Amino acid sequence: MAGWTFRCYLIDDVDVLDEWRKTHEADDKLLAKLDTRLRFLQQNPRESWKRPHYDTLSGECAGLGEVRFEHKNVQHRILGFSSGQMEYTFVLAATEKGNKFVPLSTCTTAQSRMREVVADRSRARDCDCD
Amino acid sequence: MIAIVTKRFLDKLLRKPYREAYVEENVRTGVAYQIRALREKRGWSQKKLAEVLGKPQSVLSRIEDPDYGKLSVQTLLEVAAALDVALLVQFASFPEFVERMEDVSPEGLNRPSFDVAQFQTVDESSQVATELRRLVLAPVSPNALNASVTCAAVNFAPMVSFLDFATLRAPTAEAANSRVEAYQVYRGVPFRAFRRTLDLQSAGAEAPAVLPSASTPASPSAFPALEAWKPNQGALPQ
Repeated sequence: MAGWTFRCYLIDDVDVLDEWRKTHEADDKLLAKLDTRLRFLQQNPRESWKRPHYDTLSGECAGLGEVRFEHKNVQHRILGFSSGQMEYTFVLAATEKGNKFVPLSTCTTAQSRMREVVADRSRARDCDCD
Repeated sequence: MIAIVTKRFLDKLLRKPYREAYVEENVRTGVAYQIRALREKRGWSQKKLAEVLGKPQSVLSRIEDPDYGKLSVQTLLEVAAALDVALLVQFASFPEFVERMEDVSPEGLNRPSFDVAQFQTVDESSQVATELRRLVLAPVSPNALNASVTCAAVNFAPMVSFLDFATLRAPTAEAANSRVEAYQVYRGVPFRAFRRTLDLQSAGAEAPAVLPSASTPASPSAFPALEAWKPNQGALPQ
């Protein structure tokens, strides 16, 4: 089955998803939730990426999208963008509360990282999604 | 059964809380995605499926939400009935589960609705199928298995007619697989025994595949030496 290649923005050579996993390493249920959500998206066509699993962002976050999942009443978001044919790059993990990202600088940071990756592909690498 | 996984994934599975959550998430997400795949492959909107189910569209929207997680077996049975597919609920080993969840693409999740063409009534070949299945499921080495299957095939006249021994040795697993498919179509018999053989051999056995070829089916008289051969006579004639 042909699938998407997921790439991850690098922060000090650690990819953004692994950094998120490290932050949440004590919560296996949350880790399994992200792993499963990504695997299903990876094998499904872009047109089927829609709520509640995924959403396209606008406004400050225009050009970006978010993988969405909820755990223990916390809305988790992994922001990224289509970076090529069947390729998607994740740039930032955040949460959402009351229709606002936490931290509030999420869109600005994600946009900045997206520009970095577009200018220099080596700012991201293939994510470990299993 | 052994599942081939990455070390990274295995390290996670070693943690019981993770593997419990892995199953839970895959079941929840898998059911939601499969219902959507089944619906969309039939060209049905949520509204259409909701109508067939006799439920509001909001209910169907919830059913297709992997985060909902409160689906009852009764609801799943109703969805299965609406789509005219069967529902399989059974416990599985972890390797089985991992393998089953490998392909979660819309194509991998789709299943056809009931069609009489999916069935064939029992005929004389069922005896062959039963015997081959018994042999294939027996815990023997791949080489012994290969020989056993060959013996069984040679000793059952209905089978011999359709085996082309000149092309039994499939060069690749893909070629072997396509021959199995072709043979199944040719005979109209779901020959799972051969698929099992293929699975076992592709797991690392050196033995050549004993597989039928449908493209050039041999006539019963094409291999008199083989037809005269009995299992206690040693090696198969070439």
